[in-house]
Amino acid sequence: MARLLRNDGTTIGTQITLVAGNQLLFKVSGLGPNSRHLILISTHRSVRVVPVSVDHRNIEQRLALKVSKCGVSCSQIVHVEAYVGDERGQPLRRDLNTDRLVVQILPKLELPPAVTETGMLARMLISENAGPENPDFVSLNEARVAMQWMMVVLRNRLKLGAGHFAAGRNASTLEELIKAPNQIDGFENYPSIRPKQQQLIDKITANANEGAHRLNKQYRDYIETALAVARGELWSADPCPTGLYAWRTNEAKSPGANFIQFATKGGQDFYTLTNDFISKAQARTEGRQ
Amino acid sequence: MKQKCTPSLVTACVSAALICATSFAADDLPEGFNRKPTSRFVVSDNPYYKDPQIALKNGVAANQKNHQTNRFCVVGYQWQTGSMNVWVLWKEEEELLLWDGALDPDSRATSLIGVRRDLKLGRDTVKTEHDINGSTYLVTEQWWHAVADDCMKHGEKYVIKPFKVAEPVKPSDD
Repeated sequence: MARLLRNDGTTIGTQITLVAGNQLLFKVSGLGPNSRHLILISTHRSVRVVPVSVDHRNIEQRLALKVSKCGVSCSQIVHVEAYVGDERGQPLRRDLNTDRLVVQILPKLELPPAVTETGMLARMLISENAGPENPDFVSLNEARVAMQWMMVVLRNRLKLGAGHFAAGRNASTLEELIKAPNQIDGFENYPSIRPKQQQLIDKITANANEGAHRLNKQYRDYIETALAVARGELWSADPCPTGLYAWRTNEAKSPGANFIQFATKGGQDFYTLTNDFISKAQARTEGRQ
Repeated sequence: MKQKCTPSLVTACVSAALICATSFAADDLPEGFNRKPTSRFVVSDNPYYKDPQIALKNGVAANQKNHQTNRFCVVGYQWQTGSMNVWVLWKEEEELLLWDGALDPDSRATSLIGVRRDLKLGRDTVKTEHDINGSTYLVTEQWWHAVADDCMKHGEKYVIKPFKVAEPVKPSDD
């Protein structure tokens, strides 16, 4: 009987989840009944078992599971089974004393192309919100609400007139609003995103696509939520009677004297505007039309 | 892919030096937040921010500044509501980074590779509060300097000497 171990020595168990394109380094500790290394074989070509360090003088062999890059439609279950090997390293029969490993393969999560509006919004939501390991992350539900409220802010700014928020009078689309100077941190030259925000987006996406990550499911759910909000599938009505018009990271200074804090959600402080400012802004906007 | 190489890279060679301890003095907390914080806290004692030099060094490597000496200061504020902010002053870059940290050691090691706010003096600061004008991230120069000065007075300081970035180890296919 042999045991399958992660590189840190913890037991893999009988089921793991990997994402298309992943590679999992692991160890097989123990030998077959003929005192030879067991041979691990995958039941499907989408998962390959690759030797990393195999020395027949050692009781332990180091291997890797490599999952092929099979696109977005490759969800499937693959089994990895241990076989007793002969002196030439050929499999003789299954070693029933070693548990079969069930590998659940998930498709790689891809963000929409950067040039699309959905791609831009998804990146903006991921960059601005507190991810699953952030101390400000309370729950996926709260993160979703914060993302939806950000969309409410953007829509309200366009409706009231982007010029009232230093975004320039000509900003009439979400793209123009997000790219306007000083609106969204790191997005002024979109689709080029400033390095530290791009690194954050890359890291969160990578964690969602690394099956061995401790919080892989949480990161996948988080990205899928951002995508659904960006696509408008998770739409929210404005929660504030006077409308939401700004957000700042929790405890950052108010965005201006005309803003009134409405609520804190997902590590963000959301703001409305004073009635007086809204009335004057509406009058100016209508005057221009 | 997840940047697996960085934590081991750093544990192999941590050359950061903690120069002086933080201070709890609460009577001179900086103004310019939404509400004034109630106190500071020792960042490196908080489980989300343990061993700051590891995350700092990985952040330096990710931004390809490892050829130079980098000086950092880390300060944490807390509020009565339980909210926390940890700001990292990167002196050479004149940036204040909002550090979110992480409980898991591997995630914490990469938690300064990508941040929600990196506020660079000049680029992301304005003269007056009026100039913030609805921005989601701009701060006043006064706030930037207040936090930076407060950090230098009460925060934890780290120096990351120049270092080489190791290549990630890859398994062979044979």
